Amino acid sequence: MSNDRNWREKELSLSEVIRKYPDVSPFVIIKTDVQRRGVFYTEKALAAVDPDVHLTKLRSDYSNKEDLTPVSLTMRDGTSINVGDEGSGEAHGDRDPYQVDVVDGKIVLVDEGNVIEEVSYWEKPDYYEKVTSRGTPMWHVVSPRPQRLCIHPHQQCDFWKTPGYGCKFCTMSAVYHAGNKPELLNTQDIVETVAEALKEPGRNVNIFLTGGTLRGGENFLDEELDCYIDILAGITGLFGGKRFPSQLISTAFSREQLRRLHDSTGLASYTADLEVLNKSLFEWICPGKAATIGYEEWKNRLYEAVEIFGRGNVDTGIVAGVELAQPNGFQTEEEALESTLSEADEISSHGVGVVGCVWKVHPGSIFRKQTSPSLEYYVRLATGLDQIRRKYNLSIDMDNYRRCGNHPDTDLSRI
Amino acid sequence: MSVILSEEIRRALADPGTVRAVATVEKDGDPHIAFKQSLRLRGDGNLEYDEGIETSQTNKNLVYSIWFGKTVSISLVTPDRRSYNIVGRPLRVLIAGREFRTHYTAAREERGDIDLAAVWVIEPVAACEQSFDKRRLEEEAAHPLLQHLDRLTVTGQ
Repeated sequence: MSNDRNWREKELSLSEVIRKYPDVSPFVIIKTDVQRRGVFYTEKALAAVDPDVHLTKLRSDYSNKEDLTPVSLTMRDGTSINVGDEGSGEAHGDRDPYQVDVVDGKIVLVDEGNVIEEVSYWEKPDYYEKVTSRGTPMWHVVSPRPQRLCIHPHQQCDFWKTPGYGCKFCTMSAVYHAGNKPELLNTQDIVETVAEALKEPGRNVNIFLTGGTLRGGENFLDEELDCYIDILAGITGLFGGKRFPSQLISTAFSREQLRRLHDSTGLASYTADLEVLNKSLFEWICPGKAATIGYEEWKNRLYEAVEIFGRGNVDTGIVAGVELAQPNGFQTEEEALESTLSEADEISSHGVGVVGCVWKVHPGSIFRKQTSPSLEYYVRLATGLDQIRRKYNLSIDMDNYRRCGNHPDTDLSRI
Repeated sequence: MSVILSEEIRRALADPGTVRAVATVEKDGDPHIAFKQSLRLRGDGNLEYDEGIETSQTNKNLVYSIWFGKTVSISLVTPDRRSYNIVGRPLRVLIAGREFRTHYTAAREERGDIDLAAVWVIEPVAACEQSFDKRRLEEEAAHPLLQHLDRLTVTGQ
């Protein structure tokens, strides 16, 4: 439960934010707040889970769960709510989580006794209980979202192996050390699992790869690049060698590495996450990325990616809200918004989309004692990012509401 | 509040020869009409149709409608030229999951190599017959003063 019992008195409530921003989708506002605060499942909500139908167990870069809580939720308008891979009903930080309950036969979100909106549980894909020819459970290899196959070949991050280099909001290393996951997945297992998953009609619209940094190789990051090319080459074969709807989030590759990635695989879009749009905060929050590549060079590499993958096929993600982490973050939400949107505008002017994830303050991260911003902040930020993409006529098909499902700003781009 | 559709409207929906149009409103207020021949009655009394194109104006407008509580207008014209109007409220959109898969598979079996972006479920909140002969009689009964006089004279009859 909440660490700060008075948190509701310090910020606008959900209903107040919805009333204050009548042009912003209430569904997206609700989703944002649920992601910000987390959920708790009542006994009735858990009784509504059918493990044969619903997605409960999950192994990914940030998850290793086998309990019977749902992995996550979908709203009536098709919006995904990513309540966090932990799925165990933990609050994200200081605020009380929403309840997921069953009222009048419907699964609903509840806050302070009020029914907020109907939701449904994510469903399990057909491949989930199968095993690869090597005997590996396929659910250990590819993690599903409602319409996306997620592959996390490196489930640890090399930056966490150097003291002081890990990103301060990140739990990847904590999850890795808490469980029994292999550090690297087997490529044959991955390609077999993807091939099996693609047999299911009408489910998947995107294949997504990401994982922890691999620093090694002849040139810095060649090991990471080779890992992804190896996997993507196998998957590309499933599509007859053609380019296919896909996204890679990697450490920012050099121009030569990007060219090799593009030309030797069917990868359609590319992302390298800046995480926070401010040089000094990047250096504080992402010290490994800052020391090895640097903020300005990271941006340059994104711009070079646009030359190779094309406008609308490159974006960068931010962990929205970490810019307000203390003691080095912005002192006010107004200041943070102005700075972040200004930098997002500059980056977007080069053809790189900027998408925001709602920062979930996780217990396993260095930032575990921080407090995420107000709901109003997230609504204004999402609206601003959406408007910037419209200003530059930047398509966000590569990262739209059907794919990650963790970006309120791309949800807003649906209309 | 949903309404139960009349037997006549149910028959119209069941007739493959019936033309079905869905009128929606864009976020800027501009109206948009599209013909959706897949519009059908669900077992739960709601309507549904297959949306084949993610970025179609109708699909965008239905997202706008469900977000902001707007209604849509559905017109049916039967082969014998009877017409009906249904006002509906977008209830949910299926874009993934077992129910969506059933529709996806059925649509592809029926129409070949097409994609299916969504299945929209629309709750009827009002419905009426709009056939001209029926409406004309209703109009003359309810508004007898709203007629051209030449029609009412002895020579005009």
